[in-house]
Amino acid sequence: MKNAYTPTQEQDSLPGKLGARFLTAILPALTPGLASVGRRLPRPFVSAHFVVALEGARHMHWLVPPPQLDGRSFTIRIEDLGLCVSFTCRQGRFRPLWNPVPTTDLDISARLADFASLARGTTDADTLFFQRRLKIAGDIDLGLIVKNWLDAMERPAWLTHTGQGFGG
Amino acid sequence: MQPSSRTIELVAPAGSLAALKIALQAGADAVYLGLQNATNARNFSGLNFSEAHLRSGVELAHHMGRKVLFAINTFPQAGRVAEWRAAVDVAHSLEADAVIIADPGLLAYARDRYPDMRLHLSVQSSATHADAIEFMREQFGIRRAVLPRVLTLAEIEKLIRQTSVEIEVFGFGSLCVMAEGRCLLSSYATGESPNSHGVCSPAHAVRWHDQDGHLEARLNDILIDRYAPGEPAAYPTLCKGRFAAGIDRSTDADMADHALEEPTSLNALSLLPRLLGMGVSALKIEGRQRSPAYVGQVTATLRAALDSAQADPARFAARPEWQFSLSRHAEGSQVTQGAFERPWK
Ligand code: SF4
Repeated sequence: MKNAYTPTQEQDSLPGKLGARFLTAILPALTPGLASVGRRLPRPFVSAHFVVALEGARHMHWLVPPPQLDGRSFTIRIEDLGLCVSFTCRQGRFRPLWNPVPTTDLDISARLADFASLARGTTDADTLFFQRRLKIAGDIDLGLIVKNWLDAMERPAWLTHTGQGFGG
Repeated sequence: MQPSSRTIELVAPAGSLAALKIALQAGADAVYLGLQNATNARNFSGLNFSEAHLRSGVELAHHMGRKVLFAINTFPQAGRVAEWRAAVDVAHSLEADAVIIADPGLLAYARDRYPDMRLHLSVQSSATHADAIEFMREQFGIRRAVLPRVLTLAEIEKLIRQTSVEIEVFGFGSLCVMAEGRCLLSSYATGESPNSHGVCSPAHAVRWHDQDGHLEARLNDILIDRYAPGEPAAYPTLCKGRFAAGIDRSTDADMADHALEEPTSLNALSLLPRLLGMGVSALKIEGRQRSPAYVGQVTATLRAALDSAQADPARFAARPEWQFSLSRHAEGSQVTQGAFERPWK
């Protein structure tokens, strides 16, 4: 029987190879160091770099935000690194929040490994939530839109087949 | 080794095209899914299928020799019946293999309009005995009934002997307080319930607040639970909340406890040979709201277990790795065989 389903094929592309290498080798090695400096980095600085990554993914068509995200603000906290990023989505593009408001529309926290396994699509968000490893506050309807958008996304092959290096 | 002459169809949930693909890859015989509106009982923001995705999903399933069951399992609201009828029309035009319906008026519409369409009676219609199921067969020609999770194995076995309608039971997933099709609990807090709006505890009414590791769940500002640090959380439904349910006599303080039901997941893994033996036609996995990762892992586990049970029912044993894989995804800190095993009944 022919199986018509194959993951998207960016595995051999240069960004795919770099992404896989970053996830499997570089990021785990950097994690302890990042944790010690993470807490001291100013939030706008971290947010700007994070948004560059989001925009890169958007340009590669891996991450195309749905219209419901427009005008909404988000905070992501990577607990074990002490990192916190705030950004918004405007006209389909991600933008850092230079002057973060105290509360954004949606606030999501987890450890790096759990965020990574969610990004790879190997863990169920509700399972992490039941186990108290994923925290969500703010507009839960927006949270569901984000969760279901990420769930419905076809991952590039390099992301689903690699990145097992840091316990996700 | 004595293979079973019977088989059970494994029915997996799909809240997105990605979940449908993973379910089929993992070995589901059929997937069930619904539209992005109140016509199905998992009407969550961003979940479910556009018509374009439905078309690709049905094509893929048929290409692989599998089935798509189309859930239109809420109750049409007064003045808006056309939306529910339109969903039946879509299911027919996309060549879904069956529609899962709870409402008798909608069953009548489907039967009259599309006499060849295969009709499954939804769990939401709460048909728990042979008379009710036979009545629905005589009136609407239903071919399968999904049983509410209130019956023991002995009751299911007796029921199967009394009807020609195929019987589908739940094999894994979160549990309700077992008032399927009749639950109005969430409407007391939010004005919306699964049967009217397709969603229990609508997300716009849910708020989570984490303070020093204590997690509060509120539904339309009503505090329904407070979890201690590290304590497993559950879906924010009224039925699973903890309320002042008595007085601790030693301290005279209110005792917060589960007034209706403790969050629990059904797991019928070890009962597969008995379900097979009594002639159950299909085994359903709950969870269209869950991620493709859940769908893939739970479907693959139950596929392996079903294949093993069918190959040699007498020597079937639920493997620890299967149990581990399922319990990882369970809501609440315990799994149960639910009403299937009730020695006192
Ligand atoms: S309130 Fe509980 S029992 Fe009622 S529909 Fe929701 S989950 Fe099921």
